[in-house]
Amino acid sequence: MDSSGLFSQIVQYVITGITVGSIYAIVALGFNIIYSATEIINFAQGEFVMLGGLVMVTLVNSAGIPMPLAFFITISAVTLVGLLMERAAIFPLRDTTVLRLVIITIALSILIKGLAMFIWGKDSFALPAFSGETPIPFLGATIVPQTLWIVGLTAVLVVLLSIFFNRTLLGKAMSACADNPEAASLVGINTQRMVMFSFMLSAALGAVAGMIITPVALMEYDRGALLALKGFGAAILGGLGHFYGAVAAGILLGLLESLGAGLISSAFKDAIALGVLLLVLFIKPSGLLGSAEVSKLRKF
Amino acid sequence: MGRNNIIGILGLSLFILLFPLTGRISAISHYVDIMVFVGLTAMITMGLSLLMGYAGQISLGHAAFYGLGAYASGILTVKYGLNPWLALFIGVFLSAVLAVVVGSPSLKLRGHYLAMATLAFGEIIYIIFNGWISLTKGPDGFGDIPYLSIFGFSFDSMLSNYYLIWFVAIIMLVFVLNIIHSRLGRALMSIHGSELAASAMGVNAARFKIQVFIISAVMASIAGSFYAHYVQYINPPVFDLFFSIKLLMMVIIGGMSNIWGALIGAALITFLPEWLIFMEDFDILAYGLILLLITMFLPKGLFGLPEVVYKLFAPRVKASLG
Amino acid sequence: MAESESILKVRRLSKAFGGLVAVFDLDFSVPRGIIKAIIGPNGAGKTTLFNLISGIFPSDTGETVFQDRLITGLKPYQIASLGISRTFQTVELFKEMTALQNIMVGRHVRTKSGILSVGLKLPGSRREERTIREKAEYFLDLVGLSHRAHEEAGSLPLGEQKLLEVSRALATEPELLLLDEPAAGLNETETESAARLFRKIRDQGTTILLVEHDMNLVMDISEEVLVLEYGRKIADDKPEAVRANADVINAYLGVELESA
Repeated sequence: MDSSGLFSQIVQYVITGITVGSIYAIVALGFNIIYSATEIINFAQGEFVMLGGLVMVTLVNSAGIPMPLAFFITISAVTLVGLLMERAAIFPLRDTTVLRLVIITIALSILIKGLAMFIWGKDSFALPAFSGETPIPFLGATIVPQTLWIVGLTAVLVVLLSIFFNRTLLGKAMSACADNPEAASLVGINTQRMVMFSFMLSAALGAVAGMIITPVALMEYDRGALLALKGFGAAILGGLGHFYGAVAAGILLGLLESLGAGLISSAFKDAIALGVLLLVLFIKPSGLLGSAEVSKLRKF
Repeated sequence: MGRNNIIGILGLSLFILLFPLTGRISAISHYVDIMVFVGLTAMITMGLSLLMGYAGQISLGHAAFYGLGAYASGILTVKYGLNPWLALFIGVFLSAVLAVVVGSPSLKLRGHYLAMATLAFGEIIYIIFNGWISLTKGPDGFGDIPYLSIFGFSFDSMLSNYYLIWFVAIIMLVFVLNIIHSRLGRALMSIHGSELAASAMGVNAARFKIQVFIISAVMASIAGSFYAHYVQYINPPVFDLFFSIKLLMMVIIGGMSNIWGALIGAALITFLPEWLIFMEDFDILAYGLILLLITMFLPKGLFGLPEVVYKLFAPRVKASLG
Repeated sequence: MAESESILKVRRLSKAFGGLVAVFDLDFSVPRGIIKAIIGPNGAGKTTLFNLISGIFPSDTGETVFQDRLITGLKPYQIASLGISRTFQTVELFKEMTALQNIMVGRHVRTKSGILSVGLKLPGSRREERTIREKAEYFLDLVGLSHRAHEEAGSLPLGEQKLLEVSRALATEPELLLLDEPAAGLNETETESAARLFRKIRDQGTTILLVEHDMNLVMDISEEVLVLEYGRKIADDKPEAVRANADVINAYLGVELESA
């Protein structure tokens, strides 16, 4: 193929990579938020994304609710799920072994997946694109408007979160909690509340990710597991607990996956991100930006 | 290994021997077929129980080794005409090698990281089963796998497979029980109790963990090979994440460090769809709920039930007495 | 003293954690067949030293030589198989195993049955299992805990737990026994019987190196005393000499005066 054809193909892969990478970045942020507050890895993180997409589908397609309103209702609904999860299953067992907590979040992810299958069945669902589907030409490739929404909203989320954690009282309290729970509680911060908020915030983030990706990638009941794995891969790659690391790693992972699938083989597309995850875990679990000594001090 | 265990083995053998008589009762005549799958699954859960309960590790990807054994047996016998028993050994060898390659770095990880690593590993293998179409025929699956045979006797009926598989399963049970009640079993428990002290007593924790991982992988691989020759057709969905999770459930329901529990857990979960026929749409939901409830309230599995019930009622009993 | 009479030689051992120097340029030896005590104010680096010798973490510089063999950098399980055993400051028993089972784990280094031999219950492993049990019962009896054989180790009172841990370490039949604050939390009677036990162990040929705060016990049973302060050696002599050593007095009194 001629070089301009290859170039525009690569541009297309890069666009796709940044798009999916944004989703991975959001999921990674969700992992980080809960991990920072609790040192728990929430295996059900992917289910928040799935719920975000499917709830929005029902509201918009079945109930005819206008998208902006449905957007906020969906976030609220999924946040509620996150809250219920934490109160019912995490909080009562906060002092138990890591192994048990791991299995509990796994069980929760299956439970939510099962509920989704019961409610929505096994079909894939689509959402209308937020602002139409006219492709925009770019360097020989095309960008669909939804991609701009995805990347744009991700950037907005990153900025909002940054402001939240650095400037607002609640955000700073959550950061303090993540950093040093004993000191935080000594200063009067209700650490249990912070854990609860971390689940709610992660759920909300997941919901947004689900809503913005469904127009381009559809959504079905069992998308959660793979999303969670890849998002976790991004979180680890960027160093667990590192905010900007997660974002960068998410994009990077998306690019690797997209370029790998396009240039090498698409049959094993999903395996690429998983392979990266394994490599990071085996070689440098503290991630690209993390510090090995700090990660040794972690509880698990 | 203790008198109780010997009685248990004899009792189990007798039960297995006589169970096919239930085939006469038409309402449950298919139970024997289900029991074959219980036997296969029990091979895996016994190894997993050793890994989780005794070595203190977790694996969310064990379906991968089951699948490796099955596909190795299937591909080598159908495509290359290999002797099924040789194919089984090759499958075992492959699984053992993979267990070392993946296990060595993974077992240095702890808790969540290990869970994620095994999860990722299991998914990668699943993706390969689906994606390497030239080798595995992908989602279409793989058929015409021959029956096993020894010295001319062909295991071509459900009953002969039933006895063969349970024969092997019971041998594995004896093997595993022997290990547990030995210096190796105590070494494993010591790692669980205090890895610091265990290594001070000369226990090479890292090597033990990897050895148990290999054993559990090999047992799953053998089960997979038997599965392939029994059902004679394999396709990827059998070896998916959900099956790995079901395996986890079986081990937990039985109480993690209880090999008999692994057997009971395998039986319960394998028979579950039978008893909850309305479960069609609910099945994933039901499994998730069961796993959640068991992990939250019965951490020692069903064997912890008496203790939990006691704790529930004890305060009230005391109050009424005092 | 002649070089080969030392069972353990520590040469220029240093270890720092980040900016905190735990042990610095430590140089001493332990003659074979004696009881040697390591004392010093809190934070002097005593437990760190034990952890370095038993291989729990590597030193930054220096070497440890055991029976004329370099053991620097070896892993704990390797050091255990060479003949060094230890107890821990925080009693590290296998709490859910019985007392007897704890001791049986102590026999691990002296036994060798492998997976196949054990899984198939071959005669060799059966014989070895019998020997393990017999020896474990012997060591349990040595510390007077036979009546606790089948009780959960975690359920024993502290004094007995500490005894059990010593017995477990003895079951490895070590040449060198490291005891980390064996008398902490013990009352006078228990401390006295511990002292008798340690002397008995030494008389049977095992060298003992112990970290202790109980000065009476130290002065009573040790033949040599090593004094650490801020990770450095400030004295290494017979007990009477150490007691009269001005630097040592300063180290302890200095601490007391500061906190007064």
